Amino acid sequence: MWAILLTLLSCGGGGKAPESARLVTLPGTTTRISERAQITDGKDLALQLYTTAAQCSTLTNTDEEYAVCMPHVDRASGEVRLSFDLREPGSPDPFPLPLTTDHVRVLHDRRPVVNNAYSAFELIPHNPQAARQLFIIVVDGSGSMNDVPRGKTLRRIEQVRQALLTPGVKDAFFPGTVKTGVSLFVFSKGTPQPLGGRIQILEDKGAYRDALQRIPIPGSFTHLYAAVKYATGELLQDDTIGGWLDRYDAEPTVIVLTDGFNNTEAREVCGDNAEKRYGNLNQLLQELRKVRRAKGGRRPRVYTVGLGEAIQPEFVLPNARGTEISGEELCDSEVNTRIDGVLEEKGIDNVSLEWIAAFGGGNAYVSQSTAGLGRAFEQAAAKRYMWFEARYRVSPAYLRRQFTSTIELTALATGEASVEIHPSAWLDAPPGVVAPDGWTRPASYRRSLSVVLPLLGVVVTGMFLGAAGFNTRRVLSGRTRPPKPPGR
Amino acid sequence: MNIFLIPYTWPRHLLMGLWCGAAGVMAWWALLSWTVMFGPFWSPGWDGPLLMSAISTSVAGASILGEGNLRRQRLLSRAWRLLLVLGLAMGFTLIWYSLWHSFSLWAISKIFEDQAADARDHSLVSLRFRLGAFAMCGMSTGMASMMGRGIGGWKGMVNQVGGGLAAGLCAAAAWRICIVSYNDLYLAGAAMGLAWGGAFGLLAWGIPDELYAGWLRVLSYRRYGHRVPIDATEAGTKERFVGHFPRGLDLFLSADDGVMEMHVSVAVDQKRHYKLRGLSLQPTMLRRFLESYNLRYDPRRPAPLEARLRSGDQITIGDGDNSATLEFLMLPREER
Repeated sequence: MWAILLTLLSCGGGGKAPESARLVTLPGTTTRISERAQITDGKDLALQLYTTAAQCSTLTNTDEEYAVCMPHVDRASGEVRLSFDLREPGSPDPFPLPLTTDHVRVLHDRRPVVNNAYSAFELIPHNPQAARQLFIIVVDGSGSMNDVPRGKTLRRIEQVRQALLTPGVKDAFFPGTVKTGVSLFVFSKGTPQPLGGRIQILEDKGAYRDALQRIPIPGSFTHLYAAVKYATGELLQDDTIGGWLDRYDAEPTVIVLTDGFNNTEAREVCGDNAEKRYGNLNQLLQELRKVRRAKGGRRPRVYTVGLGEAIQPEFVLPNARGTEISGEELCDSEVNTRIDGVLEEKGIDNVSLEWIAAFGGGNAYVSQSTAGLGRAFEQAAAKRYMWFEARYRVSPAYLRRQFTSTIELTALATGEASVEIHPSAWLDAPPGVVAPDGWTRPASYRRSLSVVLPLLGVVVTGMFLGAAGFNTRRVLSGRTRPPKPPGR
Repeated sequence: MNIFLIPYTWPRHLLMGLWCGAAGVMAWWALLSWTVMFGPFWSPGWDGPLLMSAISTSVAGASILGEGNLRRQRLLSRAWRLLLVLGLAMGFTLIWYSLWHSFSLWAISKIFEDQAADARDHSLVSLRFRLGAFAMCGMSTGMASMMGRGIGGWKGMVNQVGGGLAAGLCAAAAWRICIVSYNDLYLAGAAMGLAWGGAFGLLAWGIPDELYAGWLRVLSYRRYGHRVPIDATEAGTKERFVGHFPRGLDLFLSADDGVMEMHVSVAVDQKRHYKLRGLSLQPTMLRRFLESYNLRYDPRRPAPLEARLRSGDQITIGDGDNSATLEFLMLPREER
């Protein structure tokens, strides 16, 4: 009989483990997860999802960190927690990044999880990396920076100066806990010029403040692409910059600020930035990709900051990021519109800034206010983190079947990985406890006794209720005590 | 389960339900604890068969063990019967589950192709694809306990297998209600185990009357607490006599208490109905809540008056100061 039974189970009822991956059980739950996450190829970074205790124990130092590093599924609240890091292709070590919720997208069974009344997503960074950094700030020095925008009282360059001098930005550039430096440049035509006439590295807030007291505005055109190319290439080989980077084993972070379009001559139209023979956006992006992927070389991270109003505010970077951007893709309907005096008056080329930041492994910001600029600089200089915890909440009904969770990097770089999760259809661990932050923490399994013991207590009590009632009735009716002798 | 702790009152009918329900809950908790603390060594497809067979096995085993305890069977007899039922319940459950699962997969892939992926998903929480498994595994519980007890004719078969089927369906309903109403798969497992065991215990096998016997117990001062059983053997009859005749009567009561030589008798028939017969011209009253019967012998009638006895009835013999009081109690047959 048992032989028949085993045969039946092996072909029918028991089923087989999915062939795609071996499954491991998530601690404290009845849910299983693929031991190996599926990392999408062809991305800038390899997004490494943690699924096993071995992975988490190498990255975490405390029990608390280890507990949040391990994946967890709470089906009662519909919450899923996954942890991940990012690695450069071929590298065994995590690549620290300043990721926030805006940089990452989570997909539950290929449907994006957004923050609304029914679902939520949060990214929590862990293990801040005290990386030594050199911030190379390249400020637009074209004539328009001397203009006072409509509705403002300060010249654009003055806005930039004030933004760079806000305490938050200064603290971000000079955190005091790790060696950092700032090098300031102004670009307009040709090679960007260092502030003060020679390349210098400012290593404290005082020198930085003094250097910013006067930012020269040479005027002329906006050689934005050339400035980015110089700051991420030739400049890094300079004795002062390169020497400092080598001496402190630091990472270069380039922050480029502009208030307009890349514009090298008066008759240029917007489409030329994508299609002209030399110095177009596509060539710059290829250059950036080459620099960023060079083995053994310095890998600058490029952040772009636009001062003004975006000319295409609805623009979203496409998922497939090639370097064949056409004039139409770059300029939309303004492909044949002259930049100088026409487009520049309308706004800034946020599309170019987005592309440059995407290929530069950074982020693009556009703001019209001093405070907004300050925030952009702060974020560009933000802390990098080794690994991240992605928590999301969907309707609990979505967790009542096998599902795939995907984490996708949408900014700073590209990276994607997904993992299959198999909850048990029959068993579930006790639901978690809601923490003050609104997310559920796994409950101790001892909590299951709070259900089992009362249930068994009720059952056992029920078994004695009949006897207790029977005896009580007999006591009340006086049948358990001998009566008095007759005649007394 | 101990017959001496179960008085002959209506709640005794619930006890097997509670006993088997507790076994169902314990089975669920044991499997869950293993899964959560040590991790399953089986694939997701085995979650269902293992949980079902754990609950089915423990419920059928609890039913058989409960009966063995109540009947105070020999330990060895209880043990082998329990082992037999455990093996049968597990085997039946796994076989029926697999057959049902394979058949439903085949049928769904042929008839409802669009639902084939859902049917194959071992993680899918859906009563639609699980109801058959619940019913089949419930029946397996009943079949195992039926074979452990002996088939017992059509009535026994319907009781056991039908009770098992109903238990499986009750478990499915409890499981579904917890998921839909409370969105709690954890409680759903506990409710499933409790409902499965509870329904099976209530429906498949109740504590039989044959485990109890009627007793007469003296409540008056003289001979207070003295008692005699009316313990007919299985399907037999018996009559016990009460009076002051000094020899041969079953329960002697003093003539000072107004008791005649042979005053009353208590008889049990083959259907285990107990009757009180008044054999004396002296007063004989049967009292219970809001009821009383005068069973004094009427010489004009050819036969003595008699009344059905229920546990807790009080019998008063004689009148005024010269009277004795007895009570009729249903107590475990082996009570001494």
